[in-house]
Amino acid sequence: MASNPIDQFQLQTIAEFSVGGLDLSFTNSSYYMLVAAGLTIGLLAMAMSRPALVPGRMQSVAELTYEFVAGMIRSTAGTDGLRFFPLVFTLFAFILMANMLSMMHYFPSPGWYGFTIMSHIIITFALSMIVMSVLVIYGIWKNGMKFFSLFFPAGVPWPLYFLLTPIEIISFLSRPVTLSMRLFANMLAGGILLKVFAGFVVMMGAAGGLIAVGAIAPMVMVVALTGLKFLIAFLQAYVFAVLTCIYLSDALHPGHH
Amino acid sequence: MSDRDEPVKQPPDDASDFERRLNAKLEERRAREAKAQAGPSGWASGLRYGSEFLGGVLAGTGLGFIVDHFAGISPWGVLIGTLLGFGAGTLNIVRAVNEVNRTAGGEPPGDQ
Repeated sequence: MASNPIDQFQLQTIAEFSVGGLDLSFTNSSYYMLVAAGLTIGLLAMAMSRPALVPGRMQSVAELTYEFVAGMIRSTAGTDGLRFFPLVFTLFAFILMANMLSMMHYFPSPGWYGFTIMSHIIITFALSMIVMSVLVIYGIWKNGMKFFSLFFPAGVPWPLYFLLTPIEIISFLSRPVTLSMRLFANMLAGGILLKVFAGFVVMMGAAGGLIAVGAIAPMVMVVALTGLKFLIAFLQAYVFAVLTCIYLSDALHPGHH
Repeated sequence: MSDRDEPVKQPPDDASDFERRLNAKLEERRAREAKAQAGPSGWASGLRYGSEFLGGVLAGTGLGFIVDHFAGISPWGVLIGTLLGFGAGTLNIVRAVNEVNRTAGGEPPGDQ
């Protein structure tokens, strides 16, 4: 196995495919996305296949997830934010599943290597652009021109608009950037950190003698970091979903900051 | 993440003893819940605010760069865009902090 800590994020082409010179090959990233989507749908469908009034183990988990996301939307975007429930739930479930899959360092896939889907900024950026498109399109459709009051904060003397409106527009444009950067950076850093410490274990162990005994220290670190990365994997999915709710509440009530 | 209390070791002797142990358990649970409600760790919120600010600056610079490219007024777009981006980053931080304050139940300090 490669000792370069970045190698785990490399895209490997599984099936070549291109349209008009555009490389649309099926890669290990596409494979893992299909697996994540399939597992999410499959597990939820399995959990709710025989719904009971007193839920079983699987059904409890599915209902807890539902209640968790619904409560999150209610507390951040209000009850009428629930119309975005399908979008937020899908995003949350997909990111959570993708991040949990990234904790598998060996996984049934071509080459048997694990892969962190969210370690590529184009993926997280595409996800945040979905949120932003929904926000802009729904906001304009629902509020018309009043949506643009987002860029004109109320209660300031009019000459200040020359300064404040560009700042508000830039602040708005920075949302997809921060949304995608946070998820991407956390998953990338977590993966690299784990791999670096795991590499220490192997290198010190191979050195032999007293140094090999010292390899216990990075080993303990790897165990601790694995726990931490599980937390981060969940937390980042949660943060992405919460910020989605906060941003989408702007589409419902613009001018309420 | 088990939220369950430890099972009772010995059978209760009398009512007042039960009351005492129940209160001890409740006290313990309240302390745990208060700790859980203390909010995200310093590391998480630091990362949050840092990325909010960086995002503002990046978006401002990027917008300035695009304006430069299409209007051909280089380097004024990047210069002004970066400055406005700093403002937007600061605004992002203020908003993020206000959100945290609102969920924590406190009054937001500003009108914004």
